[in-house]
Amino acid sequence: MPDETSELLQGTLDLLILKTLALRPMHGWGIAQRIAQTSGEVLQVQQGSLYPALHRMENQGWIRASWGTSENNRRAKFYELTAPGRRRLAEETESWRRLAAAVGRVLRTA
Amino acid sequence: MSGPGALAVLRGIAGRLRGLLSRRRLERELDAELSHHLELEAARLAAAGVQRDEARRRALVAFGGVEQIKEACRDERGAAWLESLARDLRWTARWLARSPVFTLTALAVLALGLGATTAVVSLVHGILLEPLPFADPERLVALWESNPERGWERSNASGANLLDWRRRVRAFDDVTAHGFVHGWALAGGGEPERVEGVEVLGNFLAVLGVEPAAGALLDPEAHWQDRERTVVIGHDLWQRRFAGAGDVIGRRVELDGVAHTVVGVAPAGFSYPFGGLDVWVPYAWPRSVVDEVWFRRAHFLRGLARLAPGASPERAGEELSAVAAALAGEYPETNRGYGAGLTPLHEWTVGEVRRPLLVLLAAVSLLLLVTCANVAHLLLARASTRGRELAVRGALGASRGRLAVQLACESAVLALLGGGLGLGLASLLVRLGAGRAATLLPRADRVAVDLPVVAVAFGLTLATALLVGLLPALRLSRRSTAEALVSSARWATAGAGLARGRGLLVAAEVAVAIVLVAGAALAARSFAALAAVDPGFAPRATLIASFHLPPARYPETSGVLAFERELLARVRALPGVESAALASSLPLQGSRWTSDFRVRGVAEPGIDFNRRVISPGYFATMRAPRLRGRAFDAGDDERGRPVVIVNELLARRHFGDRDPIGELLAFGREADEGSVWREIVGVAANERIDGLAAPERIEILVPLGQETLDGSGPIRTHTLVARAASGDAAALLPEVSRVLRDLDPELPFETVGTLADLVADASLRERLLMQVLGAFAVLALALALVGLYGLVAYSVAQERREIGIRLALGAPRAGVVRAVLGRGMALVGLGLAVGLALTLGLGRLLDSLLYGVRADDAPTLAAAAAAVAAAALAASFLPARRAARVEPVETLRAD
Repeated sequence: MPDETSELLQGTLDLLILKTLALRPMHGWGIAQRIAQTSGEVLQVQQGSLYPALHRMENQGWIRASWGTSENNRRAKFYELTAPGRRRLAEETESWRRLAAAVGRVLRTA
Repeated sequence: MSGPGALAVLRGIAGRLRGLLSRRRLERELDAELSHHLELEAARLAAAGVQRDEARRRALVAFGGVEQIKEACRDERGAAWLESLARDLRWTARWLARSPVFTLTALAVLALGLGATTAVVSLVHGILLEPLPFADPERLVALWESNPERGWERSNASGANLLDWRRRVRAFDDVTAHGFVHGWALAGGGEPERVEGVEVLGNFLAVLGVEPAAGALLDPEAHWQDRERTVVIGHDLWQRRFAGAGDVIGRRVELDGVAHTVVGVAPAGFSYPFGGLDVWVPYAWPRSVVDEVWFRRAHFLRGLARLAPGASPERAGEELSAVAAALAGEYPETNRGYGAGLTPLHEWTVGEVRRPLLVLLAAVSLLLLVTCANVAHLLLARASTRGRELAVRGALGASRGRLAVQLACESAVLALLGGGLGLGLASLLVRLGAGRAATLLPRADRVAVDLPVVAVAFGLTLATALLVGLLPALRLSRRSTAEALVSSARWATAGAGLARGRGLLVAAEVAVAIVLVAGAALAARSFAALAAVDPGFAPRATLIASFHLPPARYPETSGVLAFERELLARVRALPGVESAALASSLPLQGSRWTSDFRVRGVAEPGIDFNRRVISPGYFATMRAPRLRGRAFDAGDDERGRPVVIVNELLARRHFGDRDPIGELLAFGREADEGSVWREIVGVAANERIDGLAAPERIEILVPLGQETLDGSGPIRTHTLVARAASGDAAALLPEVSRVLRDLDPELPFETVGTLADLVADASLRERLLMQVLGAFAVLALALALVGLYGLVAYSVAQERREIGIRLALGAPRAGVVRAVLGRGMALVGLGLAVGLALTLGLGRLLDSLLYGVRADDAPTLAAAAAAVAAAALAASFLPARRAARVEPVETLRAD
């Protein structure tokens, strides 16, 4: 597995997960797949970071979990965004945009 | 933090708590969730064309360590530290239960050390540290008079002097006083009973700042005869006799036949200045007494004062001395040579026991150190067998920190359990000991295992846990995992550091043991020396019982003397009584009545002799040897010729080589026409008046009845001495009591005992010191020996291979044993050296408590060291012998 994703900060992973769940509820594997696909296979989330992050965010109340049946007919844990989670997504997206713009400005000068 | 942020934190905490509660369900879900992911990943790879098993394998590999992920999730979910603590505790409990011998031993040792220390801490706290139960106790001082010429240092004050101090010393807010404890017959409100109390000035309780539980305090002028007779009763008496009823105020009761009105009740638990007081009775002096000479001459009051605001004790002391000097000039006949001074009340009350208590505290602290070392030793011993277990756990992912926490948890649990047991032991010791030592210790009623003591005990327990657990934890966490997992041979060399730690611990234990053993040996010699002192009489088989004839019911001298003689005659007639006598006081009971005398024809007066009144038959009953002359007989009464017996010291000091028999002396400093000249008819051996070790005093003995010849009243308090023919003193008591009851049903004995008890009490302090230090010494030595035994056994077991090799190479068995022994004894030697140095250093603390032996007495210290060395040799020899029995072939074959 490529190594670039090991430098993904915790806050950034949270943001990616929140965004992914903003579309529709998903289980852990699905979230990882979606992030990989959407980023063009650049961002490969490790299970070792994904699941602890999911559990943490569930604790903090930004996502909610429920048990349902998955596509391979097994019981799976689905996560969905809560209202505070939506607000958090908006805040974090705004912060990210500001950060990216700032970094870009610095890189553009000499 | 932003609003949502704070909420998130709270929700996080709630989530963690929930996580703690529903752990099992969450475990199942976590399992399901992760295995579902694995399945999907394997399915994806299979769909991409990878073979089923290969797909599964790859999925697993990509997944990473399942357990670690689970752990990380659990960390995010639950209150991780709380869970791991609970896990550690469960593990510790299982580990402790698995080796009951070790656990029980460690707990027993800890309980002993912590329990003994807590008991002594409660002593020190209750007696030395707790403030006196009065308002502003630091402003209270004790007042005393001194007379260097007579050798009086801090003695009672006389009534007239005290009242003058009260008027003249401005640095005192108020001055009060109390007398000695004695008993009254209380009647009214129930059956007549005997109560103990103390005579006081009216303002006594007010000066102390005591709040009454009911009613009011005494009238400040209550000690004058023209005031109403009042009394303050104790809380216990109020409860048991008057059922705690409020109507006790204003009630009239009779004390020794004299009516008193109860004006107040003392607060619960209050009993100053002696324990077990039921009544505080004001004196009843006529106003004219201040002009009487005896009032200024008789020193019978213990003075107390409260300092005025802003006055320092030093300034007050100076002013008091100045006033005393002025009084000495105004009343030369009575006050010449007398000075006065003050001591802060707390110091006055506990000053005498401060040194012994501190010695005790030092000794018990040493004992606690030994128990800590011993348990640390035990833990280290176990640690050396757990190396592998901990290494495996380290390999499985437990960080060094976690392992250290686990070890700390173990020693903390041990210490807490041991501390809890120790607290129970301390309560028991305090309850048992308080009774025995109550006569020796001031404020013994305040000694209890209460909150501050428990707090200190808890602190000690934690410190113990730290001490005990630190060493093993350090040792273990330092060794690397890989090293520990390798073969046992490598293991043995890694254990050398452990062995050195244990060796030092054993040396430390030996050092402390020798200090305590030496202390106990010195205390034992001190006690033996004191017990060997000849009391001057034969103490066995003799009953003593004291009584007091109250003036209210025996107003006339003739009545008092008739009663006393009749009592003596009837007791003598009893079949079990070999001989009996009366005495106003006995040897070892202290000087009761001192005054001056003049010898006919000698210019200088003799001062400060101890006067005792004895009946005929005293010397025969006491079996006290006389030197020369004759004893008193029945003809020496108030009608016969005035006679006296003097003691050896008086004869030597005042007559030199001349024979005093036949000489005349009179009491009083000045001899005038009114003096009664008494003939010396006998010279008795010096009795030990003030104590077995106290310096001797000059003494004059007066026959029963002749004390009244110069106009003073008869002695009303006597001690009956009855020697039993059968050898059993206690058997006499019922019959002797019956004799007294027949003569006067309302008069009981005030104190009852035996002469043997009197002698034993005189060495009580030395005996207790010996017993307590002895107990500590035995404990410490036993622990040190056990530690030494364990260490030698351990090193023999560890070195089986080396020993086997050496034996195979031809070394003599004796040599091997000697080598093992030598190492053990080297440690013991180190411990002895350090311990002896400590002993010499601490010896100064003990010096003032010893009789007849110095704290640096070389033979005693040498004997103690030799005893400890011999015991240590035996303790190391037993396991060392096993080294000799090692079969080289076996050890070389085994791993």
